Amino acid sequence: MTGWDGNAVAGLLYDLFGQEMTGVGATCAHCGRRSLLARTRVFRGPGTVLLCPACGGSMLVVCVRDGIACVDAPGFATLAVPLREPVSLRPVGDQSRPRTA
Amino acid sequence: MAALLRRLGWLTGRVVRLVRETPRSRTIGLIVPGWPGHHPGQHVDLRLPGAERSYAIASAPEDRYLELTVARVAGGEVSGYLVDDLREGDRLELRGPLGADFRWDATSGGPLLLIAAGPGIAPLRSMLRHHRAIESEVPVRLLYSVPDALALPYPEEIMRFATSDQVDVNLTYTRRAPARWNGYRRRIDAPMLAEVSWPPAEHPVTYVCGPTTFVDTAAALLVAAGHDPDGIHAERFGGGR
Repeated sequence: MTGWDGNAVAGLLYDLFGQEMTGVGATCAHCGRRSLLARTRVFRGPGTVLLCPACGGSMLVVCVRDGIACVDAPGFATLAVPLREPVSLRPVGDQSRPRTA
Repeated sequence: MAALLRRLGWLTGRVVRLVRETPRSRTIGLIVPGWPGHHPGQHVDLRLPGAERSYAIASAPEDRYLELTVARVAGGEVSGYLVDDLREGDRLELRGPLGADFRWDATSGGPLLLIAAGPGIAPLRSMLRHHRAIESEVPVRLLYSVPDALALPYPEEIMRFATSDQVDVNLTYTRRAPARWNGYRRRIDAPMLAEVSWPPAEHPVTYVCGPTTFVDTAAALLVAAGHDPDGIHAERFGGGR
């Protein structure tokens, strides 16, 4: 079952990383192109696979079973995860006060 | 570490309003205690026994209820239940808002180009409602593709958007146009996009939502016409299930 994009797995990515991730950029280990996770292509079968929108290479594979997520990341050369307030709680473009607590 | 360990909790929404939009779709109005608010374009995850689905938020942040417009997909148990069986007073488990790329507000700028097919109008309706609620001066062009007039949700509201000086509404009917229709009556193509779109030199902020083949076609046509791929925000429905 293919045809979705990374927007559809925002909730799953939130479970894995503890924050909104679709606005985060990842560099594909296969072709070197950088894409927002929102713009990856998503295949859903027994697990969920995120594919590079440029080359179709597999970037992230997630299988959830019995409350455990098995994560395989064959396709991230880099993934820039911001360590601050979850994106979804901040107004777009709001540069004020990175969280300190 | 606190930010890393944050969980996105499930909330319980109460169905307070159900509006039939088209033979295939319905808008579900919810009151959700604890809802943190959203940006236009974002979506929620909905959890039903044995199934989870994502649905775009169709209401503006300013609206009284959180609204989801759900279309029945062939063989879709969840969408069939939501469109035909859900009753006022029922409760739904949901979480969100979700999505950092497909969202627009005043700080995202413009001009704004909105392109949708079928149920893909839902998150764009949220953007348009918000645009009107804040009386934004950002000029908007909407291109909306539907098979026929029966499949057009929120027809009066779409016409109301069109009365605004800032919003230019273009419909195309791909199967059967209403009588005396003098607008488009075909699938989107390069000439149509060239007529409706802002020129690439104006650097429009573009949102495309609909079935995957539609979104891929629209995005490819825009890029071929010289639009910056980074300015094109897309959301694809996939193929049902």
